[in-house]
Amino acid sequence: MRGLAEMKRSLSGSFFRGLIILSSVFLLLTLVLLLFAESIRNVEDRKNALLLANQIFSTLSGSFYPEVGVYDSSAVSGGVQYGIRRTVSEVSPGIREMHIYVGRNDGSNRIELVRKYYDLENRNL
Amino acid sequence: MKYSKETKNRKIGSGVSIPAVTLAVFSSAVVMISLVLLVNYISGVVDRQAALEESVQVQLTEESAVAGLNMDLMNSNIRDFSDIPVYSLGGLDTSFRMVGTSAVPPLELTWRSQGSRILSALPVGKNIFVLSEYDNGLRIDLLTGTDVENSVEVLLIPEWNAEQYSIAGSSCSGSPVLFLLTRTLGREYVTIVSPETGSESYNVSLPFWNESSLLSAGCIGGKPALLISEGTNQAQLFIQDSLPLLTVSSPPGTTPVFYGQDQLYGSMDGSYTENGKYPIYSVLQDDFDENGSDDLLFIGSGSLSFVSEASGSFILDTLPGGRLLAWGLTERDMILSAKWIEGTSHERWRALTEEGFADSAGPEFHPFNWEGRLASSRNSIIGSIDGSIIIADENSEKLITVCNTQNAVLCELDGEDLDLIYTDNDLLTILLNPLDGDGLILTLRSVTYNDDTILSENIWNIQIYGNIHNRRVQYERAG
Repeated sequence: MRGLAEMKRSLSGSFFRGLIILSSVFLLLTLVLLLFAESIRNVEDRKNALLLANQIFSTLSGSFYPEVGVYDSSAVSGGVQYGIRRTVSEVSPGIREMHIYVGRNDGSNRIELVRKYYDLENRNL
Repeated sequence: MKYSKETKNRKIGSGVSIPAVTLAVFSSAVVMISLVLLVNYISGVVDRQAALEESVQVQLTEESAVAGLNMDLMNSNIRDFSDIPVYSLGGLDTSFRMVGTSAVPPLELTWRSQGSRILSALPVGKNIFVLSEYDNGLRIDLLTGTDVENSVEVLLIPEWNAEQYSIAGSSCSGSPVLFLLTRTLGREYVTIVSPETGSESYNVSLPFWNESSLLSAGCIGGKPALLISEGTNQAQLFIQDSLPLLTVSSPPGTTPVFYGQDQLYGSMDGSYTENGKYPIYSVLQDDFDENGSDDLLFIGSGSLSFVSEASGSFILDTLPGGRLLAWGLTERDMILSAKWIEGTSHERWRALTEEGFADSAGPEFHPFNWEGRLASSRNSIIGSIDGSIIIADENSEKLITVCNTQNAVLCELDGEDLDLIYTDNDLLTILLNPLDGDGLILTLRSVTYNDDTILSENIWNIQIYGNIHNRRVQYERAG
């Protein structure tokens, strides 16, 4: 009888120690996940931003020739609102360069892409 | 005592049990492995994202480079195809190396009607109105420039039972407008069709109208207007929202027409009495005297009248007993020439000089049985022979039959050189710049790189058509 009681006490002690260790592991893993959640979110943002920028460039192709200026707009992707800025400058007569910046509205996780456009309507410039 | 001994054996050091240590070790291992896997995964995702962003920029740099090459080729900035400049953008460079060259025939674009047979194709500026049968009705589509893949249906008449119809077109306030003149149950209607405003029909009472009547469309005070002429020097003028019809007259040997930018050749004050001595069956507008402004050429069966827009001078040429068979710009010097037949077969060519029309030898290199309108370039001449549109090439001395004359029209859809539109059943074909002869196809390898790292390689086919003054370039990725 005495031996059984001692064993129960010993097992109960191990159970609590095990629980504490497992809780510590769980907390540690949660902490690690929290640490990387920001990185995952950043990658997700950049992925969506790239998708939006790609869509914009695919519609602005062919004989399209942009007007010089700065154009701001926004779009929602994956439930998140993204700010889009297009800056068009003339690098030489008949050649314009368009930079597209897409990222979170607060300016974070912004990707930048650039393309040149040529004025095919007014040649021999 | 035995129990107590075993229990003591399960403890080490300061009273921590062996299972607890094992659990702690395994847990630590799980945490470490998870951490390593997570770090690897995250860094992999970040690297892949970075590579994806770079590949998109590589693609944009390459596309920009090809567009730049296109521009340089159009402007004839590249004299030597083995020395193509390097194009830079976004910190990346794209270079081109020639793989091969070959000749390609003039570019042909085709468009198939959603209806059945194409009845008519009418070029208006850089647009083409296409009328086709649609079950029991009529369908009208609009093609914009050479972008044949994006046609627009502008009108569908489900039940169309017109006994007779004629069409004319013009650009009014920047928008292409089609006039459809029909006779249904003995009554005449003018239908104005526009992609901007749809269609409007007006019942008109015409004193004359048959299939050989001449129609000319234009714009008066911002409103679409239509001239209907029997070929004499008088015409009926219809203006949208303004009835009845007005009478317009012009000098004998001409007929009232619209020309240039909504200008009317003719007067509405009755300056000229009706004169049917020189019936006109065709009017041509071009810069025949090469002074930078379009002139008018009135073609009759026995008369040819030239009206210079710049000077306003009017030259009428007739040959007693002669029939006018062919006319247009011929030879390298682009001389306005006309082919007449005197009696039954005596051929005589007359050319426009500063003193008026004078006898000439005719097209030196192409002494064929031309009929109707002629047009020339440095090496080729296009016209009609025995009911077919023919291109005669001076270099190869070949005659190339293109299509039937009946369903063909020459126009300037793309640039300043003539293009040919023709239809066959439900197919419309645009032959771009046929007078420029064959084009050249360049096969180029593009390499996009950053410092010494090659990021992308592609093969491009660059098609170059036209001459040094009007060059057209098309490109596509070959592989």
